Amino acid sequence: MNSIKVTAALLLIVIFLSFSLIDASAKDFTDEMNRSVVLKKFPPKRIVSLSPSVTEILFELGLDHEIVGVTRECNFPPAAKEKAKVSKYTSINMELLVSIKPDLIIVSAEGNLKEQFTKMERLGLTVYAVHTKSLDDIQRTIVNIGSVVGKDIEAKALAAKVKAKINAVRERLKGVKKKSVFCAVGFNPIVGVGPNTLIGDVIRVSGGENILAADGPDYPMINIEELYVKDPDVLLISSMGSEVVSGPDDSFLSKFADLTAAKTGNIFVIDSNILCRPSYRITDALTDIAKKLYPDRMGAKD
Amino acid sequence: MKNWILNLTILLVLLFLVVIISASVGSADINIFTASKIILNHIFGFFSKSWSDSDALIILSIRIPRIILALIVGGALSCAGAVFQALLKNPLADPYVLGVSSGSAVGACIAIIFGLSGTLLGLAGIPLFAFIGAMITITLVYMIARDGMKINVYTMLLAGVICGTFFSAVIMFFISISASDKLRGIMFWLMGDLSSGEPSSIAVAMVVISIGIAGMYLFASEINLMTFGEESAVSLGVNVERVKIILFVLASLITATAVSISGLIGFVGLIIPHIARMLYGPDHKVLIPSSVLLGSAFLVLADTIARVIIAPYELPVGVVTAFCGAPFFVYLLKRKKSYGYI
Repeated sequence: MNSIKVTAALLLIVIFLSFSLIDASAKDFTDEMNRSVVLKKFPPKRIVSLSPSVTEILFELGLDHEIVGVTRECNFPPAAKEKAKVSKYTSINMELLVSIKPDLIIVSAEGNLKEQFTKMERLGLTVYAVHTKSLDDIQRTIVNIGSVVGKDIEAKALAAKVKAKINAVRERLKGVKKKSVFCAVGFNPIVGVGPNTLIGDVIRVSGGENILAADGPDYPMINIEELYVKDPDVLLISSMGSEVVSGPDDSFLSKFADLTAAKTGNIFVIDSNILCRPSYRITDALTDIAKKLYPDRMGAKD
Repeated sequence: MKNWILNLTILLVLLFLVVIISASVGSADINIFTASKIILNHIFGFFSKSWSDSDALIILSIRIPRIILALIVGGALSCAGAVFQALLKNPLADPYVLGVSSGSAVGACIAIIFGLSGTLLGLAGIPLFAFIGAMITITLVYMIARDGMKINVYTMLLAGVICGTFFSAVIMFFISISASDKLRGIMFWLMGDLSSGEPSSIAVAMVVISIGIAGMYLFASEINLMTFGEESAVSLGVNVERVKIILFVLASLITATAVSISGLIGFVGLIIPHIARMLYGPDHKVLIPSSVLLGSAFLVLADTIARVIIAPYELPVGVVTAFCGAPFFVYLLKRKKSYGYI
């Protein structure tokens, strides 16, 4: 009888303590996939990023010490390479993830599989998903990440900076005559990028008119004939290397030799690490492309 | 028979060892004693707790479900392979020979692209649609190969190959028109993956596959007679046409179940029955259980290698099955020159 009383008393104390702990630091959020996320510890002290763009944003918000896990593809800033790697592409090492005991895992709807979100949650992990498909989305994502990691002020400042840079490009290109653009993200076969993507958005803001239709696939395989029919003013080629910015080889370029873009010297290679990631650094890609398209307007010399 | 009981014991011990080893290696550093204690404690509950919560979570919620999945998928694929090889009288036959793989892949692709979901008898989402795809394929192959009440195994083989090719083209079509985010899901599934089985699906698969294997084992002596020729089996009183249909259905059913929860894992169903035949002879009473046990042990081992060899990353398990299985098979082939496949 006595032991039951003691146990009951202990149980009450434990329940009381845990409630008071929860009250002290738990916080509710709704992530960008409209899922409800409860952070047991706020602000989170151990954060894992499962997307290179999220990693960039977290580092920029000054969370060098809080980041405890990243992906194999996270190569910026250089400090990211020193962190534990818990995934490559879409395959996540769940047991490593559990063993580093993260308070928060930030995933992206574009880079991770949705089935894995629920799997991680079933293992008792806290998962916040971002969904970033345009320049406007990037600003929203930065602010949302800031609030979930407890860096609201820094995040709002960073988002404002991104917005200012985008507006500066818009301002300079006001009333410009649009150039037709084709952007390739694959060489063999040629894979293009449609308008309803982040890259498509960057092209639009930098004054380009995508030659691909908005109702087609996002990343269609393109017959080279199509390029000769549409004959774009500018050909952008996303570098495929992960570390080094490398363009296609000469045999690839020779296929385009008769395009207007080739004759006028308007074939450019863009760093895919910046162009393809929905991070704050997208403004670098935007400014870069705008300068290449309209060197006079953008003052490419300075 | 006495010899066989000894062999069976050895196989069971081997399987047990493989499971324990597999449960105690991985990215998280948990030693073999702690791993064994956590497992035994979960079953019997007599150890005092000397491990952390995350260790228990890793062993019980990550490694063990994956091992169980590898056990049932490996057993199912090699058992189905053994039966298909005997029925089709073809040493190249494997569980996917009748196009079940491509059919289920089409089902999975459609579910991924159109975001379909649904639940039937515990199978949910992608596995459910993969299973439906496999069943449609089997029915189609059977209808093509059927001639009155009989089925010609060679027509069936060809029908399977043709359906497989057709559905592969359908998959390629889906891949080339689908959006990038769906594409990743499809590729993930096509590569074969033991890491994402849902516990409820694993439980359903275990029941279906156990029943299927037991059912096929009941016909072991009929299979033995049929391998000497269908006419002689008929003259010995075997209802060949009925046995053939039952076996095709059971083998396809367990293949479809295995594929629907793990994607396409090659090589196991082709090579393990041959290895079992080399080690224990062509009697299907021995061959079926030994294929199941060897297949289970082999896939657990291959999956363990796949998840630790380039840790923290993983290799597709199909890479390991072919990479380790092929040289071992060549070794056995060279050692036992007089090997006949049935």
